[in-house]
Amino acid sequence: MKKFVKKIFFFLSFFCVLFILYNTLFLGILMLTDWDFKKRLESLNFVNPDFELLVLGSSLPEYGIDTEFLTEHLMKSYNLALHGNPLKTSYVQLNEYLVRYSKKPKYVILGLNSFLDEQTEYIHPVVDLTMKSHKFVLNDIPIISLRWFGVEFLKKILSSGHRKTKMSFGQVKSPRVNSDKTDYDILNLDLKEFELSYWIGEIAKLCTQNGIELIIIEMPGVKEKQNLTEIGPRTINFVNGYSALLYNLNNQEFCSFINENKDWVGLSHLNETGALKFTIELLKILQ
Amino acid sequence: MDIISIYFIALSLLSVFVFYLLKNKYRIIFLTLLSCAFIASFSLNLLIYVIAYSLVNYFIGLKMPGSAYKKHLFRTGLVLNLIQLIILKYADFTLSPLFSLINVNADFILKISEIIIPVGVSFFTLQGIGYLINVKMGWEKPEKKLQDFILYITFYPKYLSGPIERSNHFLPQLKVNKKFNEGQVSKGFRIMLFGFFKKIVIANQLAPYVINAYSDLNSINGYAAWILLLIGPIYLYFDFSGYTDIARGLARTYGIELLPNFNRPFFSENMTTFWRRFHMSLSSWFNDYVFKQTAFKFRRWGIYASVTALLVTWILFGVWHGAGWTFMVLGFVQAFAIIYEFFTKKWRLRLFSKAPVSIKVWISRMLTYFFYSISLVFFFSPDISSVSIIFSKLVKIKGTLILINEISSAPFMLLIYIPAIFLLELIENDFGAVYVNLKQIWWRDGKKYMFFRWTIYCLIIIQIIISANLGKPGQFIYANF
Repeated sequence: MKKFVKKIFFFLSFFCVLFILYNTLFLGILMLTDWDFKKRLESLNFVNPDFELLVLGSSLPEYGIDTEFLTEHLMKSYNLALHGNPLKTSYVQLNEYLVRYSKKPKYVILGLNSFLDEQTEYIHPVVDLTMKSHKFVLNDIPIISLRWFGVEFLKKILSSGHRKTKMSFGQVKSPRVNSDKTDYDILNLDLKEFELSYWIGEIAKLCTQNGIELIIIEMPGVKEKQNLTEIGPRTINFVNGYSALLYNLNNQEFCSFINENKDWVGLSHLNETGALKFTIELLKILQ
Repeated sequence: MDIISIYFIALSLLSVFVFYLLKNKYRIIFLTLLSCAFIASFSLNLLIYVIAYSLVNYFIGLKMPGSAYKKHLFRTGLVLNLIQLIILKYADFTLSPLFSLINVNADFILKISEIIIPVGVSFFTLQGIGYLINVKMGWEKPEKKLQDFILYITFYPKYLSGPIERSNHFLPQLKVNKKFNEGQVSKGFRIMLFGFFKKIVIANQLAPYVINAYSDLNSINGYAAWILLLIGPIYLYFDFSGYTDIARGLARTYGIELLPNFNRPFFSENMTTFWRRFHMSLSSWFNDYVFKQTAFKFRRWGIYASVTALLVTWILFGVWHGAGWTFMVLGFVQAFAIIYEFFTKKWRLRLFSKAPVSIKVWISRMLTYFFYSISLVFFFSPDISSVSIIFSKLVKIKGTLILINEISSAPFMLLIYIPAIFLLELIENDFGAVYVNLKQIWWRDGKKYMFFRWTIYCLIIIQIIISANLGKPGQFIYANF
């Protein structure tokens, strides 16, 4: 039995070494290849950034708002949105940006979809891992906290469409095309959800306190997700007393510019062609 | 205690070392106490109930041989076993409607089940009945050691979901002195590791699709219904065989061999063979204790004795899974398939005699898989109306392949692991010599081979750690029975 216990001890030591190596390699690969990671590192290391417009939110604005185009035609812009980003993280990102850099943006666009995940206290793992105040816990082991990005990496290995996807001014530009085969539904935007949202209210407060104009955008979705509520804009008054303008750009009529066979990557995400078309429409509104 | 938890893994691994550090005479007591503690972790009432259940069966078994009332004792034991099963598991389905007919409130019976929380009742009841039949038929001498008998009923690796042990297989193993055997213990750990891999890395990742879809069938479209139909057997197989591997591996570390439950079932060429390879401990139990006994009883009916016995066996087999018409139909459908195969065997052989063997084999395998997939709709559906919803969606395909998008983005690695495991099973099943060669290469002596094996084991553990964190620990399906 002693021999067996010794063998188990050797195996466990071997496992620990391999586990550390595996995690280091995994983290290294992600830092070099993952769009969110690269963007996060880039945004933490800007030298005197002078962006006038920042985009916040989840993957919908990350794919759908062409900040390169906005920079060329309107003002210097950067897309800080991240895959699966909860609202709290958008608040954390904005706060961090304002603390870190002296030049404040004039506008912040918060791109949303109707899945308001605002109650969660979860912070996007890439942001969490790279935050200054972050305290390391067992769950921070990269293969656990960043496992989702591992799946994205595998997609890049297996699919040329994923490999061709590029990042520019923080926007993820994907050339992939997936037709929208869904049908229209009868949906309306629940404005109460916006008004009651704690974290959107906090973002509005932060913007007002720093002299930034917050523009909330309901991002376009595939046909079955589009609604019948008017485009607006309408003023949303939050519980904390602050307010912001909301544009419902997921309106069925507004979204008629989207080509159902050419402009989507899939699951309500616009590809680079769709994003450019959408940004042109957005530009008209902003101007 | 959840089997897929760090506590269970740590406690069971620690217990293996404690087991071998103890003197041989204390080891069975240790395992019995450990098993009792495991059951008590669900409910103390359950532990008291299981011990009382074991005592009743133990004493009936003990008194039966040589008794003038052997038949009566056996019948009493059988009736007690069945009544407790009906009260604890089928009261809502059988007793409540019966009591309402005579205007009696049956709530007190339903309360019993709430108080006891009858986890594992379907499994230990079959073991209790099997023991009584063995003793009555003289196939086995009654167990004299109470602690051994209690361990037979409560042995914690198999308590929740089997394998359904036979007393004449399990009890003799407890009489043998257990020496520490490094090979045996290592093999046990390895089997457990593969069990956790199957359950956590594969079944738990498929679970959200299967369980969510069956709980909200109106939300899925025709394509999703077809995918659901086809992944159902894979999900059930990895979930249940994962549990079985954990149970068998853990038991082996204590030097106890549990009955096998799976033998590459998806390479079966008909349903008769399939049920000899899927949930083997249950199907063989029903074969030995229900089918053979019923067929013998009605032997004068000739061929119809077998048909009757098949119907009775498979309907009981279905009902064993749960109270409800869906399970009854599940059993009936299996009986129908086996009867069909029995009566058409010669005709089918003649019809396909000129077809190439490999084509025959693969078409048969696919048809068997497809038939089982369809019958599983009754297994997963909560009621008959849900069954009709899913069948209507299968017929009228509308909508888009949304589920495929989700599958390809979330449990992505499954697309690699599931084919890899089935490929290994295929090699073992169809190319025995190649499999033996591969095994020899895998077990070659030398440090570089050991390094390679250890690396693979470590990667499996890492994958388990990654997958375990993808969601909540999933309940084993067969723990519901």
